[in-house]
Parts: sequence; structure tokens; C-alpha cells
Amino acid sequence: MQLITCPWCGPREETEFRYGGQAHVTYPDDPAALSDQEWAQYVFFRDNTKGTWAERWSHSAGCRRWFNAIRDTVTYQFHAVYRLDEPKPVIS
Amino acid sequence: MGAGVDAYNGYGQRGSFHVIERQMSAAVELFPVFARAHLLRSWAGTVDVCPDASPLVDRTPYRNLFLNCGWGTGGFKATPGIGWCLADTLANDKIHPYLGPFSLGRFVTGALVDEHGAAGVAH
Repeated sequence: MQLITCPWCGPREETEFRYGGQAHVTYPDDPAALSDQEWAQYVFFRDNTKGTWAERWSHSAGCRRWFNAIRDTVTYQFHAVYRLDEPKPVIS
Repeated sequence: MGAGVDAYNGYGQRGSFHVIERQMSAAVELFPVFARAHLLRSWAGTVDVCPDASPLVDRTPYRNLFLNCGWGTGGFKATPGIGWCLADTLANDKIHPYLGPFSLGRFVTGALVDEHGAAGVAH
């Protein structure tokens, strides 16, 4: 089983974690002004990256805290994990 | 041994090791003799799933490009029926009535077809 490193708890089994999808999707500045099409884009439509991208994870069966990760969607290798208040690391 | 849908985006096209590991441990717990068995094959592939776990069958903004996907929670039994509906749609250039709920537009109108768990599988 793959181990995922929680920024607070360290490496734990992947079944302890819950997936949160794409990271850095910002809440609309003026929600009331959005059309239905724009709401659909915000709520449902996400990048579909084959390769490295940023995503959210929660250590739901551990400390229950959320964090972000840079992961390769082909190899499943985690290149970095970082807290929500930390900037997205640059992965070469 | 089967496997479930990974709860995260992936193009690995391999079995879910965490599911296989748990299934094997449960099997060995029930039948200790299985500890001597060799696992020859397991499922692997890409499962296409929509946010509401229902398929997507619709025309697209591009002429003559139709979608028939998102069957990742139970397309096997629906294949003949949806093939018939899609053929009818293509032949008459008109969306078959049965396909209405499975349009791309449901994510804009909010009329989702929330079928999580309907197939009785752990997706």
C-alpha cells in the first residue's frame, strides 16, 4: 500500500486519507454575479491532468487536517506536500 | 480478486493496491489456506466517472462529435440499450428521449442524476 506523507503526522497508509480534488480553485469574488454556466464551471469542471498537478488531501482517519500535494497522476508519486497556508512549491 | 475505483484522479491503469491488499488479508483471514495461493491477475484500467456517477451521453458543441462516456459505475448491463439510443440519436440527429437526463447541460441546470451506490458497487 502506498504511503502518503501528512505534513503533521508523517508517512501513513493511503487508506487513512480522503481525496479533495484539484487544489487552488478559488471561490468566486462576487458569487451573486455568476451565471449558471459560470457556477457549473466553478463547482464541477476541473483540469484533467495526465502528469503532475496540485490537489487537496485530508488526513481523515488521522489528524483530520487538510493539506495540498503535488502528485503525478500517472506514477502516483508525491513530489511534495504542503500546508494550505504555504505557497505552491515549484517542481522542476 | 476485484478492485474498486481509486478515490483520486489517476492514469496509472493498474489495480488499486490498497484494495487488493485489504481483500487478500480478508480472504486469508477467512480461509488461511489462501495464504499459499499466488495472485495471478487483478483488474486494471481507467474508470471514467462523472461527479454524479451517472453517464454522459450527449452531442457536443463540435459538429458530429458525440459523447458516450462516464460509464464507470456500471456500464456493462446498459451497453445494448445505450447503443440503441445513441444509434437512434445519430440516425435522426435528435437526442433520444431516454438520453435527456444524461446531458452535459445537467451540470449547469443542477438536475444531476445522483447514482452513487445505485449499482451496488463500492464506487
